[in-house]
Amino acid sequence: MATKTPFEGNTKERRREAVKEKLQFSELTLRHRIGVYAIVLLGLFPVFLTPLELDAFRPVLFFMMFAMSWDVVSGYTGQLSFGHAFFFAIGGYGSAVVTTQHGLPVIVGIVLATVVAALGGLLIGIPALRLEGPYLSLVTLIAPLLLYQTFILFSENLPLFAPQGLGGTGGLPTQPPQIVGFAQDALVTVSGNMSWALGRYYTAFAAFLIVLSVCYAVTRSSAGTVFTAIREDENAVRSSGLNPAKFKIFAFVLAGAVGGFAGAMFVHAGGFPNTENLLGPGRIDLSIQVIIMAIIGGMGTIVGAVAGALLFALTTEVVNALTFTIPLLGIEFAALDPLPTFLLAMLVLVYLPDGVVPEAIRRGRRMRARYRGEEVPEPEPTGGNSPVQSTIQKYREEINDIIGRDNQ
Amino acid sequence: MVLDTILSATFISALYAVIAIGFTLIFGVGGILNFAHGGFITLGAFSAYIASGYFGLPIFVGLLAGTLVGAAVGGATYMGVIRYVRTRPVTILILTFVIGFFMMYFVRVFGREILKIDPLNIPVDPVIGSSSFGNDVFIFATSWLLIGALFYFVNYTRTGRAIIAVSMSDKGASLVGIDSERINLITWVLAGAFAGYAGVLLAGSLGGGSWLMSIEPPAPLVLSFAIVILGGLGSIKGSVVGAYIIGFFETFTVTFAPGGSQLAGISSLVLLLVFLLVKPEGLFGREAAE
Repeated sequence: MATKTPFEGNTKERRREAVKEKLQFSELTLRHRIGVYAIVLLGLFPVFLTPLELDAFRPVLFFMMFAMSWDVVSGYTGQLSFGHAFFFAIGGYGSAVVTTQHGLPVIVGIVLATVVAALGGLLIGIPALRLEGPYLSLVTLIAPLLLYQTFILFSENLPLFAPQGLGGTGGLPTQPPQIVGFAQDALVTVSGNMSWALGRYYTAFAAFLIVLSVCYAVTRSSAGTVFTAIREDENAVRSSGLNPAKFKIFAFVLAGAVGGFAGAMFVHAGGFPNTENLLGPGRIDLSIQVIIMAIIGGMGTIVGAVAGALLFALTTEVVNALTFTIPLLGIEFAALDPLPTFLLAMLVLVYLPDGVVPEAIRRGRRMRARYRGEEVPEPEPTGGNSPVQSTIQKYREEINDIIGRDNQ
Repeated sequence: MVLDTILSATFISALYAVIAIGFTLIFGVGGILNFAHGGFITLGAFSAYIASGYFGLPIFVGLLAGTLVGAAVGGATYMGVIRYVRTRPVTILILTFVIGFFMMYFVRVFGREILKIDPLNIPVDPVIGSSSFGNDVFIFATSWLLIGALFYFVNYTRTGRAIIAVSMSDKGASLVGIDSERINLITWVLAGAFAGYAGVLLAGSLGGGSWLMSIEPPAPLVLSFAIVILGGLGSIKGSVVGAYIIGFFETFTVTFAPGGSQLAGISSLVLLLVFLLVKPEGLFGREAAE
């Protein structure tokens, strides 16, 4: 079926066949099977974690979602966004305001917040059509800062939208109704700590599955191919009769919607809607952490974002567990958090620029080939660039363009 | 009233110019957007606190300490990290962010755990403590002095012209025997020194530093990025002009717009967004080279 043109024969039938073929578990390649096992394992976490540990792990699921939403736009199309927390904050605050200050049900809140965040994606996506490289970075960097100032400016009252205000630096005054909780306003009212923790965990896990499948499906579809093509060469996309502008906007809107959805789920699954949770204590550092996670794991893979977030969380956890006292300084190692994590991120960025997941896949292939006695495959059989390489290439050209250097 | 506003706008703009100049230098020469700039500024202010607040030395020593630490950290960042990843701009971009946040969190952890101070409020005295007007004049005068000196250095000394050569073309420069590694190091040290110096002055005139000072209003990190874009990336002259435009615009909106005091920290960002969409190549474009 490979040689048929897209319009030959019964397209609907073929499409269905193709999807079915991809969903055959026994036909999956080893790495996909490992991925499925990992997801099942994530779903089984409550079996071997205590409720307290589960609660501590829940934010990691949200980090994974945030990192995936970044990867969709920046990892695939190469349009670097430095203020992705903008979308999380819009989603989280949006849903919290809709449910607490307008008294609408949780589901409506989540849907509205996702829509508003998608509009936010449009807001960033349109300048992205005109602006290149560093200029776009600046716009995306400013967006969360402006949002932060907006929260302060309308801390008491935002007419029409948020009659009780946005709460300023301390965050919103009330916790929005939960999806699973003790209170009467929760969607599912439970009693008992265990079922509460379980409920919150599985709410987050369900959101994670939704985000993962949306991101995975889009990036593995033909739209994903166009995203990659934009990263590689915009002119080539244009000359095949596709409009890169349309796809760039789509990528931003999708990332906004996904990020907003994750932010909204966050505040309805135990997270408190304040700037520290949704923008980071340093106002832009959540955005930066998300980028670090996605890059550590491997840019432009979606799976890498998940792995990166997990690694990041593990490192933080290990650092916090090391309570020995550092000689000379006289303070506990754990007090240094987040410095060791950042240091590790620096090392990975310098020494493993492609990220952990692509590296692992490459090594795994080589090992398996050796094990089976086959010829060891070449590292880059297609001769293509890795996502990081081509994003770099694109960015370098843009910068050289701007400052008029003639290097290469 | 108007005269007062003009005066205070002039003073604040002079400070902004010093803040932004290091950022311009590194971008102009290496094509690197250095987001660790905010970290340099914060470390400069923090060193001034250690020297003058913690050890009780006069604030001039603190100013010197801040400048030197800024220079050292700038040089170390280049030698330790940036040098190895120079051909990978995206990695650099994210690395400089990570480095910058590392420095900020370092100030937070070090201040809180070891010096036992509130990292959100690090006391740094103004350089001229007797009158705030005197302090402003000091900032204004040294700002122009330093920028003048930098201008002279870049345009009229051998090393400075080598910097221009590298900024135009690495290859061309190495063809005529310029060691671009050394030039890059010099640029980073200079930029770090400017940032450290600016950090001490900024903390002094704000009445104290903080580990978040580079992203809290007036957000020097974003401000310098904004100024540099407004003036045209990589242009020293453009950055100075950009600093004055932003300084004046901000002071005037804060003073005269209704509810203006609420707008501190927002107005210049909005101006910048509009500017980016209308004229993204900046006022002066590529001009530092000429």
